[in-house]
Amino acid sequence: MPIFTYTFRVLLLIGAAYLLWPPQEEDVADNSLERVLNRPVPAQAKIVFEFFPGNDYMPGLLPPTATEKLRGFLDVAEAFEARFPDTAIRFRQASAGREWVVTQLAGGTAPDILSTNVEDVWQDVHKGWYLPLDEYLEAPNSFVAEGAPGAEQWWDQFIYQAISRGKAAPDGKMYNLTYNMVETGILYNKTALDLLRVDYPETWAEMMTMLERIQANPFAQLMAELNLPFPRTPEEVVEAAHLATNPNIAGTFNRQGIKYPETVREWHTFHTLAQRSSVVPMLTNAGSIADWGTDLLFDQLYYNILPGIDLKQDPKREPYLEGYLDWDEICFLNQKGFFTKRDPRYWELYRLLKEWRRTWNKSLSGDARRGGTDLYKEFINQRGIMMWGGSWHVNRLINDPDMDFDWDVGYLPRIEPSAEWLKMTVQDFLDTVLPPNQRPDPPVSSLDMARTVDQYLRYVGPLPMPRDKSLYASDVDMCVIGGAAIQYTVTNSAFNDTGDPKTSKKLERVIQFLQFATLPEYSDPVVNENPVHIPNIHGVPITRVLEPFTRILERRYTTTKWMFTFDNRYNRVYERMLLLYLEDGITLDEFMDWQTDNLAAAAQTIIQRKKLNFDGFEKRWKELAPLRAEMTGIPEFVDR
Amino acid sequence: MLIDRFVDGKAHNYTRQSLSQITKPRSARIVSRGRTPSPNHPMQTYPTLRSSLSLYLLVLPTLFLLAIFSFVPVMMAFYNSFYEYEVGGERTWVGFQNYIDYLTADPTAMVSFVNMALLTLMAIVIRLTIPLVVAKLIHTLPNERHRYLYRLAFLIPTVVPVVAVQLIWGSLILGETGLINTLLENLGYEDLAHGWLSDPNTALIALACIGFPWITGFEVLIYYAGLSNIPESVHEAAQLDSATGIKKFLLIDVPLVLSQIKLIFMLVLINGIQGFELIFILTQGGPGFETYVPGLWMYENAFSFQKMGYASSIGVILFVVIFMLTLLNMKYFKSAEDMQGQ
Repeated sequence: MPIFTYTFRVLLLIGAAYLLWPPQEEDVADNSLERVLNRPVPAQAKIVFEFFPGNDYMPGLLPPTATEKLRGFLDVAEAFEARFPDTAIRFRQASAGREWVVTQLAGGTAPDILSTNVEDVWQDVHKGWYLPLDEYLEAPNSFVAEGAPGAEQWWDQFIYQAISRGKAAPDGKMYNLTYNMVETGILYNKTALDLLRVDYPETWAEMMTMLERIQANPFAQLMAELNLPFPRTPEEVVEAAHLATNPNIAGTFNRQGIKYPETVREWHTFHTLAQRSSVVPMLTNAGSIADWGTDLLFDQLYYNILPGIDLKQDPKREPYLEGYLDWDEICFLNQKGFFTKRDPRYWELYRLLKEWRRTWNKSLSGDARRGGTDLYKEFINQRGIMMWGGSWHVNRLINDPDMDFDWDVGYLPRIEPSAEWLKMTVQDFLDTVLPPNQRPDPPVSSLDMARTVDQYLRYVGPLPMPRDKSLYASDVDMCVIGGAAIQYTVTNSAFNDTGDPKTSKKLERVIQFLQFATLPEYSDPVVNENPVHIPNIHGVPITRVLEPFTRILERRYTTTKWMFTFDNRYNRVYERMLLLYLEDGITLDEFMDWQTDNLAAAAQTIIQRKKLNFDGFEKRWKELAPLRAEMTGIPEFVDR
Repeated sequence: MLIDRFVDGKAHNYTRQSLSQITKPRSARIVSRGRTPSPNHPMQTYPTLRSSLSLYLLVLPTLFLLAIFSFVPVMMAFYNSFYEYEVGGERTWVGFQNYIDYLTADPTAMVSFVNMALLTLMAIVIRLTIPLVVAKLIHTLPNERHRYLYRLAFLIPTVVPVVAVQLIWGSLILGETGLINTLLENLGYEDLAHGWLSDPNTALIALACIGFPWITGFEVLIYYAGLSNIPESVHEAAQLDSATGIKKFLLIDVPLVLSQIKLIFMLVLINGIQGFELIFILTQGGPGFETYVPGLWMYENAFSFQKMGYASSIGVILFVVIFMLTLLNMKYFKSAEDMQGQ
């Protein structure tokens, strides 16, 4: 008997082993990841450098947005090696974590060309880990034919100059080569908006009205009154069309302001939304709000006072950026009371965000694994009507088999100003502008009732405001908030052959490779192989579906970038406390306390790190005083 | 009762008294030297350094690696805590400033220590009680086969990686479209549905509830082993004194598994003070700092903000807290064996 027992156990083990190691077909394609990472180095290759192109373009990988394994940069590398037989390029993978980058750079073992974002680079530029690219960008690209963009300056090859040049580090030098662009946008359910008989909003007030209407879910209200069929084929739609002539049905549709569905898709959306107990008007998350939301609203509220506070005109970047507050200016302005509790515009920014937040998804945690909302899934399932996403979503939406509605891309509308309120007395403001359910708490004293709204806000404290307008809005279209997608840096490993960038042959070849890779004929197959980003190189065609984002990219550049411009500690604390405030964990007043301290600490770090001297700013500040005197919403030295 | 033990490579039969004698400190044992060997007090032999040199040499490589990878980093943390230091950056002596800044000026310190204390306290209460009750219930089963099956049943879930379990809780159970919210919506309580981990009012308690009903195989097995070691004669004696049911459990079983309780207590305490994996995976300490703990701030300062000196000072503070609590535990939390040894 034991022989049977043992035989059974052995067979069981073999079976288990088979399940654990099933036979696999060897991937023999030359762009299999294993082959890409282990490309042989030819004997004649005297210069070998390493390249991490980023996971969106890593040959051998199959990102969810691509249909086949990537190979674009493999072809570029092979073409370059064919041109320079003494050179071999080794692809390397990199970990997403900052820890990896820091330890590799500190050890001098990072890939020579590394895809990494400015927020990581800027933190470490003073350590000499990255090579400034200015002198190469200002020189011709040696591979470009005469007369073509790039023949005079490599810079000229790049389409989006403001964003590309805006990536200069706090020391004024350019460490990141912006290979392509990413842009945010509001992806919206066009079928649902058509049914609601609304066009995409052009003002903030229109958007807020629309979002509130979606939140009330008129579809569910309508279905509660009518028992309508669910046509699923064109024939059934035709059959159901006669119901629209029924006065009772037509009247109910008109009363709810809903269009009678005319297509299978419209019926599907209609029934899907009607079944929902709640519909989310706007899908977003804390990360998007802390980054894009803050910058966009900041720009709306501060753009019109830029002439009075933009103290430094960078001769290289100013023509492209058209007014931009950099680190040094922010630190100086912070000492003057800007971006603190004393700054009424800063209060306004977070008031507007909170008003808007009422139409977002319940959980703002961006990671579905952490109990957050999977924005994409909610959008596809029509639980949410609008999603604050970006160009990286488009290819996925197009190829999604579950997509069952028409969608389009919009952008946040501008905020309309209401500066006339500032001149009203508080009494008139409360009586005529503010809805009766919004009253100051504690009530305004009779003495303060006689003040103007402007005086009250400057010297007493904040007042409740209507949710869809702002006293300080600049009345300009929303600016660009996306930016550089894949950015390449040259690391300290690139000149480890001599230790000196001026004499390094390896560095020379590394730069040549980057110039080679930015030729349109080599950039096109890379960028369009995985169409998640928008080309930044003249002559590279754009995938049609990404065109709406190019129109957004043509907008004016932002007034400043808050997130990722100060130190990481500032970002982390800011994002956390903003989320807590938006989730009703703390009041606006408490949030402003945190934020004032957080920004002051970050500014102090920068002042110490850069050993800033503000004498020049102080002089310019005084010169601009008459301009500021004409402006409203300038911080007063009153503790609010 | 006779207990088999290996001492000096030879098997001996000892009584519990002689065992406690062996485990006494060396100074106490020296006193008993010169006595006439007796069955209860066997003659001890102490090998010389020369005769056991080869053994020390064999241990040396392990000790060396332990020193490099464990002791040196700890010493470096002490050293770095007195500097303002970034990886790849300059090192500036700041004395106790990092400690002072963290304990007096860091807005996260108080809230994270409170969170840590609450989570640790809850973990201690849960893990010292529920697995013990379950172990006792299994131990009470009359049939050994059934006892085995139950032990197996509680042990099997431990093969699932902890991270996977935590992610399941985070997304499928506590998520916005997770089990709890779906249940509430279907029952008509959709107003109660919300992001349990993202709502500042529920995030901490939701974290503490992860793992419900908190029966982990590891602890059940430890308690079960302790309960199995209680001699049957003790139970019989208790029964003669009419101690049964809960009374017997509280007065006989619990005191006799105190060494297991002490072990679990220490493990939970250390993990509660320095561990932050669950929080890192599920909430990252948010919303705000509502679920933040000092360990996570240490990690973020070290690897996200590169403030290595500051992070080291937080690590040293946590080390001191754990060390003090361990000393208190050793001094005041006496197991049955500790008391026998006194």
